[in-house]
Amino acid sequence: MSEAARFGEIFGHLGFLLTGLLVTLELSAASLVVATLLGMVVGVTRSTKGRWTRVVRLPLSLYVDFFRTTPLLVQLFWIYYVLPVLTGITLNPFDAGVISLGLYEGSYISEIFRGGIAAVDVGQVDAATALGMTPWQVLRRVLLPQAIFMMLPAFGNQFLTLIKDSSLASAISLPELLSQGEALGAMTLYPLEALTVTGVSYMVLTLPLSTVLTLWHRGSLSRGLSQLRRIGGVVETERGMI
Amino acid sequence: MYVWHWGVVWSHLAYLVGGLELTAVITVTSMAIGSALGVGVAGARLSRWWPLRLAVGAYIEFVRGTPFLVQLLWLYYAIPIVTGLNYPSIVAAIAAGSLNIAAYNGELFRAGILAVPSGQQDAALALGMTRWAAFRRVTWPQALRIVLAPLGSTWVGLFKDTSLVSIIAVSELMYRAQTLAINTFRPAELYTAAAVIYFLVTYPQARFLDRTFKRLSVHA
Repeated sequence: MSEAARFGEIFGHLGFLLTGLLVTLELSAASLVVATLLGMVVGVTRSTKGRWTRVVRLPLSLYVDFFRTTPLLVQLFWIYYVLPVLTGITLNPFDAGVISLGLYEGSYISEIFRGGIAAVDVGQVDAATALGMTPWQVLRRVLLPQAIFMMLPAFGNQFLTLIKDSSLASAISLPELLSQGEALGAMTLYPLEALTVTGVSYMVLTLPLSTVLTLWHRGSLSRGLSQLRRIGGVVETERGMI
Repeated sequence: MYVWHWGVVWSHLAYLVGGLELTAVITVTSMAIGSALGVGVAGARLSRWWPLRLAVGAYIEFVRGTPFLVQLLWLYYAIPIVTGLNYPSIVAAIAAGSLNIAAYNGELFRAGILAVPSGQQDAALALGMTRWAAFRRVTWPQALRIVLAPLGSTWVGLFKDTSLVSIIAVSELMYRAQTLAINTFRPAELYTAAAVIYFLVTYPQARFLDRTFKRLSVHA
Protein backbone atom coordinates (compact mmCIF):
# COMPACT_ATOMS: atom_id res chain seq x y z
CA MET A 1 0.00 0.00 0.00
CA SER A 2 1.35 3.42 -0.88
CA GLU A 3 2.35 5.90 1.77
CA ALA A 4 -0.52 8.21 0.77
CA ALA A 5 -3.04 5.41 1.09
CA ARG A 6 -1.76 4.61 4.58
CA PHE A 7 -2.20 8.19 5.69
CA GLY A 8 -5.63 8.06 4.02
CA GLU A 9 -6.50 5.10 6.22
CA ILE A 10 -5.43 7.05 9.32
CA PHE A 11 -7.42 10.09 8.23
CA GLY A 12 -10.41 7.78 7.76
CA HIS A 13 -10.30 7.32 11.54
CA LEU A 14 -9.82 10.97 12.32
CA GLY A 15 -12.92 10.99 14.53
CA PHE A 16 -11.20 8.43 16.76
CA LEU A 17 -8.23 10.76 17.21
CA LEU A 18 -10.49 13.75 17.73
CA THR A 19 -12.18 12.15 20.73
CA GLY A 20 -8.68 11.81 22.19
CA LEU A 21 -7.89 15.41 21.33
CA LEU A 22 -11.00 16.47 23.20
CA VAL A 23 -9.95 14.53 26.31
CA THR A 24 -6.47 16.10 26.10
CA LEU A 25 -8.09 19.55 25.94
CA GLU A 26 -10.38 18.83 28.88
CA LEU A 27 -7.54 17.38 30.94
CA SER A 28 -5.25 20.32 30.14
CA ALA A 29 -7.92 22.92 30.88
CA ALA A 30 -8.96 21.35 34.19
CA SER A 31 -5.34 20.89 35.27
CA LEU A 32 -4.48 24.45 34.30
CA VAL A 33 -7.24 25.78 36.56
CA VAL A 34 -6.09 23.62 39.49
CA ALA A 35 -2.40 24.39 38.90
CA THR A 36 -2.95 28.14 38.57
CA LEU A 37 -5.04 28.44 41.72
CA LEU A 38 -2.65 26.26 43.69
CA GLY A 39 0.39 28.00 42.23
CA MET A 40 -1.02 31.42 43.05
CA VAL A 41 -1.83 30.58 46.67
CA VAL A 42 1.52 28.88 47.25
CA GLY A 43 3.57 31.47 45.35
CA VAL A 44 1.96 34.46 47.04
CA THR A 45 2.14 32.86 50.49
CA ARG A 46 5.82 32.09 50.05
CA SER A 47 6.43 35.68 48.95
CA THR A 48 4.93 37.29 52.03
CA LYS A 49 6.78 37.79 55.28
CA GLY A 50 3.84 37.75 57.71
CA ARG A 51 4.07 35.89 61.02
CA TRP A 52 1.37 33.36 60.19
CA THR A 53 3.11 32.34 56.98
CA ARG A 54 6.13 31.22 58.94
CA VAL A 55 4.24 28.11 60.04
CA VAL A 56 3.40 27.05 56.49
CA ARG A 57 6.66 28.12 54.88
CA LEU A 58 8.50 24.83 55.46
CA PRO A 59 5.67 22.54 54.27
CA LEU A 60 5.16 24.73 51.20
CA SER A 61 8.81 24.73 50.21
CA LEU A 62 8.89 20.96 50.76
CA TYR A 63 5.90 20.64 48.44
CA VAL A 64 7.48 22.78 45.73
CA ASP A 65 10.90 21.15 45.92
CA PHE A 66 9.53 17.63 46.03
CA PHE A 67 7.17 18.01 43.10
CA ARG A 68 9.76 19.81 40.98
CA THR A 69 12.51 17.25 41.53
CA THR A 70 10.59 14.01 41.00
CA PRO A 71 9.30 12.82 37.63
CA LEU A 72 5.66 13.50 36.77
CA LEU A 73 5.26 9.83 35.83
CA VAL A 74 6.10 8.77 39.39
CA GLN A 75 3.63 11.26 40.83
CA LEU A 76 0.95 10.15 38.40
CA PHE A 77 1.44 6.48 39.28
CA TRP A 78 1.51 7.31 42.95
CA ILE A 79 -1.77 9.17 42.82
CA TYR A 80 -3.47 6.64 40.56
CA TYR A 81 -2.24 3.39 42.14
CA VAL A 82 -1.17 4.26 45.69
CA LEU A 83 -3.55 6.95 46.91
CA PRO A 84 -6.62 4.69 46.52
CA VAL A 85 -4.85 1.93 48.48
CA LEU A 86 -4.10 4.34 51.33
CA THR A 87 -7.37 6.25 51.47
CA GLY A 88 -9.92 3.84 50.06
CA ILE A 89 -11.04 6.49 47.55
CA THR A 90 -10.91 5.17 44.00
CA LEU A 91 -9.95 7.67 41.34
CA ASN A 92 -10.75 7.40 37.65
CA PRO A 93 -7.81 8.08 35.30
CA PHE A 94 -9.10 11.55 34.43
CA ASP A 95 -9.33 12.72 38.05
CA ALA A 96 -5.95 11.19 38.85
CA GLY A 97 -4.55 13.05 35.83
CA VAL A 98 -6.04 16.37 36.95
CA ILE A 99 -4.76 15.95 40.51
CA SER A 100 -1.21 15.01 39.54
CA LEU A 101 -0.88 17.51 36.69
CA GLY A 102 -2.41 20.16 38.96
CA LEU A 103 0.07 19.44 41.74
CA TYR A 104 3.07 19.11 39.42
CA GLU A 105 2.51 22.16 37.24
CA GLY A 106 1.22 24.04 40.29
CA SER A 107 4.64 23.74 41.91
CA TYR A 108 6.23 25.32 38.82
CA ILE A 109 3.55 28.01 38.56
CA SER A 110 4.06 28.93 42.22
CA GLU A 111 7.70 29.70 41.39
CA ILE A 112 6.58 31.81 38.43
CA PHE A 113 4.35 33.81 40.80
CA ARG A 114 7.19 34.14 43.27
CA GLY A 115 9.57 35.32 40.56
CA GLY A 116 7.00 37.77 39.20
CA ILE A 117 6.34 39.28 42.62
CA ALA A 118 10.06 39.49 43.39
CA ALA A 119 10.61 41.33 40.10
CA VAL A 120 8.30 44.19 41.10
CA ASP A 121 10.32 47.12 42.38
CA VAL A 122 10.40 47.32 46.20
CA GLY A 123 9.66 51.04 46.00
CA GLN A 124 6.20 50.19 44.72
CA VAL A 125 5.38 48.35 47.95
CA ASP A 126 6.87 51.13 50.08
CA ALA A 127 4.87 53.76 48.22
CA ALA A 128 1.62 51.82 48.53
CA THR A 129 2.24 51.21 52.24
CA ALA A 130 3.05 54.87 52.76
CA LEU A 131 -0.32 55.72 51.19
CA GLY A 132 -1.96 53.71 53.97
CA MET A 133 -2.80 50.52 52.10
CA THR A 134 -3.11 47.29 54.07
CA PRO A 135 -0.77 44.43 53.05
CA TRP A 136 -3.71 42.73 51.35
CA GLN A 137 -4.47 45.88 49.34
CA VAL A 138 -0.81 46.24 48.39
CA LEU A 139 -0.83 42.69 47.10
CA ARG A 140 -4.10 42.91 45.22
CA ARG A 141 -3.84 46.42 43.80
CA VAL A 142 -0.11 47.01 43.34
CA LEU A 143 1.94 43.81 43.35
CA LEU A 144 -0.20 41.27 41.51
CA PRO A 145 -1.28 43.46 38.57
CA GLN A 146 2.35 44.26 37.76
CA ALA A 147 3.64 40.78 38.58
CA ILE A 148 1.04 39.04 36.43
CA PHE A 149 1.99 41.12 33.41
CA MET A 150 5.63 40.16 33.81
CA MET A 151 4.70 36.53 34.40
CA LEU A 152 2.66 36.08 31.24
CA PRO A 153 5.43 34.68 28.99
CA ALA A 154 6.65 32.18 31.58
CA PHE A 155 3.06 31.28 32.31
CA GLY A 156 2.35 30.71 28.62
CA ASN A 157 5.40 28.48 28.40
CA GLN A 158 4.21 26.47 31.38
CA PHE A 159 0.81 25.99 29.76
CA LEU A 160 2.52 24.63 26.63
CA THR A 161 4.48 22.24 28.83
CA LEU A 162 1.28 21.22 30.58
CA ILE A 163 -0.44 20.30 27.30
CA LYS A 164 2.53 18.15 26.33
CA ASP A 165 2.81 16.62 29.81
CA SER A 166 -0.84 15.60 29.68
CA SER A 167 0.27 12.86 27.26
CA LEU A 168 1.65 10.97 30.25
CA ALA A 169 -1.91 10.19 31.26
CA SER A 170 -1.81 7.58 28.48
CA ALA A 171 0.29 5.52 30.91
CA ILE A 172 -2.71 5.24 33.25
CA SER A 173 -4.93 4.33 30.27
CA LEU A 174 -6.83 7.58 29.95
CA PRO A 175 -8.09 7.65 26.33
CA GLU A 176 -6.45 10.98 25.50
CA LEU A 177 -4.76 11.94 22.24
CA LEU A 178 -1.63 9.81 22.57
CA SER A 179 -3.55 6.72 23.78
CA GLN A 180 -5.89 7.02 20.85
CA GLY A 181 -2.97 7.50 18.46
CA GLU A 182 -1.22 4.41 19.81
CA ALA A 183 -4.44 2.38 19.62
CA LEU A 184 -4.98 3.55 16.04
CA GLY A 185 -1.45 2.51 15.14
CA ALA A 186 -2.03 -0.94 16.59
CA MET A 187 -5.43 -1.26 14.92
CA THR A 188 -4.37 -0.24 11.42
CA LEU A 189 -0.84 -1.68 11.74
CA TYR A 190 0.52 1.69 10.56
CA PRO A 191 2.16 3.07 13.72
CA LEU A 192 4.40 5.47 11.79
CA GLU A 193 1.48 7.21 10.15
CA ALA A 194 -0.72 7.10 13.26
CA LEU A 195 1.99 8.54 15.53
CA THR A 196 2.93 11.19 12.97
CA VAL A 197 -0.67 12.39 12.75
CA THR A 198 -0.82 12.32 16.58
CA GLY A 199 2.32 14.44 16.76
CA VAL A 200 0.91 16.92 14.25
CA SER A 201 -2.30 17.08 16.31
CA TYR A 202 -0.27 18.09 19.36
CA MET A 203 1.41 20.75 17.25
CA VAL A 204 -2.00 22.06 16.19
CA LEU A 205 -2.77 22.44 19.90
CA THR A 206 0.51 24.10 20.87
CA LEU A 207 1.47 26.14 17.80
CA PRO A 208 -1.07 28.99 18.20
CA LEU A 209 0.07 29.69 21.76
CA SER A 210 3.78 29.35 20.98
CA THR A 211 3.35 31.72 18.00
CA VAL A 212 1.65 34.29 20.21
CA LEU A 213 4.49 33.99 22.71
CA THR A 214 7.11 34.46 19.98
CA LEU A 215 5.37 37.54 18.59
CA TRP A 216 4.91 39.00 22.06
CA HIS A 217 8.65 38.90 22.68
CA ARG A 218 9.60 40.05 19.24
CA GLY A 219 7.59 43.20 19.78
CA SER A 220 8.81 44.07 23.23
CA LEU A 221 12.42 43.02 23.62
CA SER A 222 15.79 42.94 21.96
CA ARG A 223 16.33 39.90 19.77
CA GLY A 224 18.65 37.85 21.93
CA LEU A 225 16.82 38.56 25.16
CA SER A 226 13.47 37.83 23.60
CA GLN A 227 14.76 34.47 22.40
CA LEU A 228 16.03 33.67 25.88
CA ARG A 229 12.70 34.51 27.45
CA ARG A 230 10.69 32.70 24.83
CA ILE A 231 12.37 29.42 25.67
CA GLY A 232 11.87 29.97 29.37
CA GLY A 233 15.41 30.90 30.31
CA VAL A 234 14.24 33.76 32.48
CA VAL A 235 17.45 35.06 33.90
CA GLU A 236 16.38 38.19 35.65
CA THR A 237 13.74 36.94 38.05
CA GLU A 238 14.46 34.95 41.16
CA ARG A 239 13.12 31.73 39.73
CA GLY A 240 15.27 28.85 40.88
CA MET A 241 16.16 26.42 38.17
CA ILE A 242 15.29 23.13 39.80
CA MET B 1 -5.77 1.88 57.73
CA TYR B 2 -3.14 0.62 55.35
CA VAL B 3 -0.38 -1.55 56.79
CA TRP B 4 2.94 -0.74 55.17
CA HIS B 5 5.33 -3.57 54.38
CA TRP B 6 8.64 -1.87 53.76
CA GLY B 7 10.46 -5.21 53.77
CA VAL B 8 9.68 -5.57 50.08
CA VAL B 9 11.60 -2.38 49.33
CA TRP B 10 14.59 -3.26 51.51
CA SER B 11 14.95 -6.70 49.98
CA HIS B 12 14.94 -5.26 46.44
CA LEU B 13 16.76 -2.02 47.20
CA ALA B 14 19.97 -2.94 45.36
CA TYR B 15 18.00 -3.84 42.25
CA LEU B 16 15.95 -0.61 42.43
CA VAL B 17 18.90 1.68 43.00
CA GLY B 18 20.81 -0.23 40.31
CA GLY B 19 18.27 1.20 37.88
CA LEU B 20 19.83 4.61 38.47
CA GLU B 21 22.83 3.40 36.49
CA LEU B 22 20.80 3.33 33.27
CA THR B 23 19.05 6.56 34.26
CA ALA B 24 22.46 8.22 34.50
CA VAL B 25 23.77 6.64 31.29
CA ILE B 26 20.75 7.88 29.32
CA THR B 27 20.95 11.38 30.84
CA VAL B 28 24.69 11.82 30.27
CA THR B 29 24.72 10.36 26.75
CA SER B 30 21.64 12.27 25.60
CA MET B 31 22.96 15.51 27.04
CA ALA B 32 26.37 15.06 25.40
CA ILE B 33 25.07 14.09 21.95
CA GLY B 34 22.20 16.56 22.19
CA SER B 35 24.47 19.48 23.08
CA ALA B 36 26.91 18.68 20.26
CA LEU B 37 24.03 18.48 17.80
CA GLY B 38 22.56 21.58 19.42
CA VAL B 39 25.58 23.67 18.45
CA GLY B 40 25.01 22.56 14.84
CA VAL B 41 21.30 23.33 15.13
CA ALA B 42 22.05 26.83 16.43
CA GLY B 43 24.52 27.37 13.59
CA ALA B 44 22.01 26.19 11.02
CA ARG B 45 19.32 28.49 12.45
CA LEU B 46 21.70 31.43 12.16
CA SER B 47 22.81 30.43 8.67
CA ARG B 48 22.42 32.83 5.75
CA TRP B 49 21.07 30.06 3.54
CA TRP B 50 17.28 30.09 4.04
CA PRO B 51 16.41 26.47 3.08
CA LEU B 52 18.66 25.26 5.90
CA ARG B 53 17.12 27.76 8.33
CA LEU B 54 13.66 26.62 7.34
CA ALA B 55 14.38 22.89 7.59
CA VAL B 56 16.03 23.17 11.01
CA GLY B 57 13.28 25.53 12.15
CA ALA B 58 10.65 22.94 11.25
CA TYR B 59 12.59 20.30 13.18
CA ILE B 60 12.77 22.52 16.25
CA GLU B 61 9.08 23.38 16.09
CA PHE B 62 8.17 19.71 15.82
CA VAL B 63 10.29 18.66 18.77
CA ARG B 64 9.17 21.57 20.95
CA GLY B 65 5.53 21.27 19.91
CA THR B 66 5.04 17.57 20.57
CA PRO B 67 5.37 15.55 23.80
CA PHE B 68 8.63 13.68 24.38
CA LEU B 69 6.57 10.52 24.75
CA VAL B 70 5.31 10.83 21.16
CA GLN B 71 8.88 11.24 19.91
CA LEU B 72 10.01 8.25 21.93
CA LEU B 73 7.23 5.97 20.69
CA TRP B 74 7.79 7.22 17.16
CA LEU B 75 11.45 6.21 17.25
CA TYR B 76 10.71 2.94 19.00
CA TYR B 77 7.70 1.61 17.10
CA ALA B 78 7.63 3.45 13.80
CA ILE B 79 11.20 3.80 12.56
CA PRO B 80 12.10 0.06 12.77
CA ILE B 81 9.05 -0.77 10.65
CA VAL B 82 9.90 1.76 7.96
CA THR B 83 13.64 1.17 7.79
CA GLY B 84 13.75 -2.51 8.71
CA LEU B 85 16.44 -1.64 11.27
CA ASN B 86 16.21 -3.48 14.55
CA TYR B 87 17.71 -1.77 17.54
CA PRO B 88 17.31 -2.34 21.27
CA SER B 89 15.02 -0.05 23.25
CA ILE B 90 17.96 1.66 24.98
CA VAL B 91 19.13 2.94 21.59
CA ALA B 92 15.68 4.35 20.89
CA ALA B 93 15.73 5.97 24.34
CA ILE B 94 19.10 7.66 23.81
CA ALA B 95 18.22 8.68 20.26
CA ALA B 96 14.96 10.26 21.41
CA GLY B 97 16.71 12.01 24.30
CA SER B 98 19.50 13.33 22.07
CA LEU B 99 17.20 14.58 19.31
CA ASN B 100 14.95 16.24 21.89
CA ILE B 101 17.83 17.93 23.69
CA ALA B 102 19.38 18.99 20.36
CA ALA B 103 16.31 21.08 19.58
CA TYR B 104 16.01 22.64 23.04
CA ASN B 105 19.73 23.31 23.45
CA GLY B 106 19.95 24.51 19.84
CA GLU B 107 17.39 27.23 20.60
CA LEU B 108 19.16 27.99 23.85
CA PHE B 109 22.57 28.36 22.18
CA ARG B 110 21.09 30.52 19.43
CA ALA B 111 19.48 32.78 22.03
CA GLY B 112 22.79 33.01 23.89
CA ILE B 113 24.73 33.85 20.73
CA LEU B 114 22.20 36.55 19.80
CA ALA B 115 22.37 37.99 23.29
CA VAL B 116 26.11 38.71 22.97
CA PRO B 117 26.39 42.32 21.77
CA SER B 118 27.37 42.36 18.09
CA GLY B 119 30.12 44.87 18.86
CA GLN B 120 32.09 41.99 20.35
CA GLN B 121 32.21 40.21 17.02
CA ASP B 122 32.94 43.45 15.16
CA ALA B 123 35.86 44.16 17.46
CA ALA B 124 37.23 40.64 17.02
CA LEU B 125 36.98 40.91 13.24
CA ALA B 126 38.61 44.33 13.31
CA LEU B 127 41.52 42.77 15.19
CA GLY B 128 42.02 40.48 12.22
CA MET B 129 40.42 37.29 13.53
CA THR B 130 38.71 35.03 11.05
CA ARG B 131 34.94 34.62 11.48
CA TRP B 132 35.48 31.18 12.96
CA ALA B 133 38.12 32.42 15.41
CA ALA B 134 35.90 35.32 16.41
CA PHE B 135 33.04 32.93 17.08
CA ARG B 136 35.06 30.35 18.95
CA ARG B 137 37.15 32.73 21.04
CA VAL B 138 34.90 35.73 21.57
CA THR B 139 31.19 35.11 20.95
CA TRP B 140 30.81 31.48 22.04
CA PRO B 141 32.43 31.71 25.51
CA GLN B 142 30.18 34.66 26.37
CA ALA B 143 27.09 33.00 24.92
CA LEU B 144 27.75 29.87 26.94
CA ARG B 145 27.88 31.81 30.20
CA ILE B 146 24.60 33.51 29.41
CA VAL B 147 22.82 30.18 28.87
CA LEU B 148 24.40 28.30 31.78
CA ALA B 149 21.42 28.57 34.13
CA PRO B 150 18.77 27.41 31.61
CA LEU B 151 21.21 24.67 30.57
CA GLY B 152 21.17 23.35 34.14
CA SER B 153 17.40 23.43 34.01
CA THR B 154 17.49 21.30 30.85
CA TRP B 155 19.72 18.81 32.64
CA VAL B 156 17.38 18.38 35.58
CA GLY B 157 14.39 18.12 33.25
CA LEU B 158 16.15 15.44 31.22
CA PHE B 159 17.09 13.48 34.33
CA LYS B 160 13.44 13.34 35.34
CA ASP B 161 12.21 12.67 31.81
CA THR B 162 14.34 9.53 31.55
CA SER B 163 11.62 7.91 33.67
CA LEU B 164 9.46 7.96 30.52
CA VAL B 165 11.66 5.39 28.79
CA SER B 166 10.21 2.83 31.22
CA ILE B 167 7.27 2.84 28.81
CA ILE B 168 9.44 1.19 26.13
CA ALA B 169 10.80 -1.28 28.72
CA VAL B 170 14.27 0.16 29.34
CA SER B 171 15.20 -1.23 32.74
CA GLU B 172 15.94 2.03 34.57
CA LEU B 173 14.67 3.03 38.02
CA MET B 174 11.04 3.65 37.07
CA TYR B 175 10.73 0.46 35.06
CA ARG B 176 12.19 -1.59 37.88
CA ALA B 177 9.77 -0.01 40.38
CA GLN B 178 6.89 -0.83 38.04
CA THR B 179 7.84 -4.47 37.48
CA LEU B 180 8.46 -4.99 41.20
CA ALA B 181 5.13 -3.34 42.03
CA ILE B 182 3.33 -5.74 39.71
CA ASN B 183 5.20 -8.84 40.82
CA THR B 184 5.02 -8.22 44.57
CA PHE B 185 1.52 -6.64 44.64
CA ARG B 186 3.01 -3.79 46.68
CA PRO B 187 2.58 -0.65 44.56
CA ALA B 188 2.30 1.65 47.58
CA GLU B 189 5.73 0.79 48.96
CA LEU B 190 7.50 0.60 45.61
CA TYR B 191 6.15 3.78 44.02
CA THR B 192 6.79 5.66 47.26
CA ALA B 193 10.34 4.31 47.27
CA ALA B 194 10.81 5.32 43.63
CA ALA B 195 9.61 8.85 44.37
CA VAL B 196 11.93 9.14 47.37
CA ILE B 197 14.94 7.81 45.43
CA TYR B 198 14.29 10.25 42.57
CA PHE B 199 14.01 13.10 45.07
CA LEU B 200 17.20 12.11 46.89
CA VAL B 201 19.25 12.08 43.69
CA THR B 202 17.62 14.95 41.79
CA TYR B 203 17.33 17.53 44.56
CA PRO B 204 21.08 17.75 45.31
CA GLN B 205 21.84 18.03 41.58
CA ALA B 206 19.34 20.83 41.20
CA ARG B 207 20.65 22.69 44.23
CA PHE B 208 24.25 22.23 43.14
CA LEU B 209 23.61 23.40 39.57
CA ASP B 210 21.51 26.29 40.81
CA ARG B 211 24.23 27.58 43.13
CA THR B 212 27.14 26.97 40.77
CA PHE B 213 25.49 28.50 37.73
CA LYS B 214 24.18 31.49 39.64
CA ARG B 215 27.77 32.27 40.53
CA LEU B 216 29.16 31.65 37.05
CA SER B 217 26.43 32.97 34.81
CA VAL B 218 26.15 36.52 33.59
CA HIS B 219 22.85 38.34 33.33
CA ALA B 220 21.92 39.01 29.75
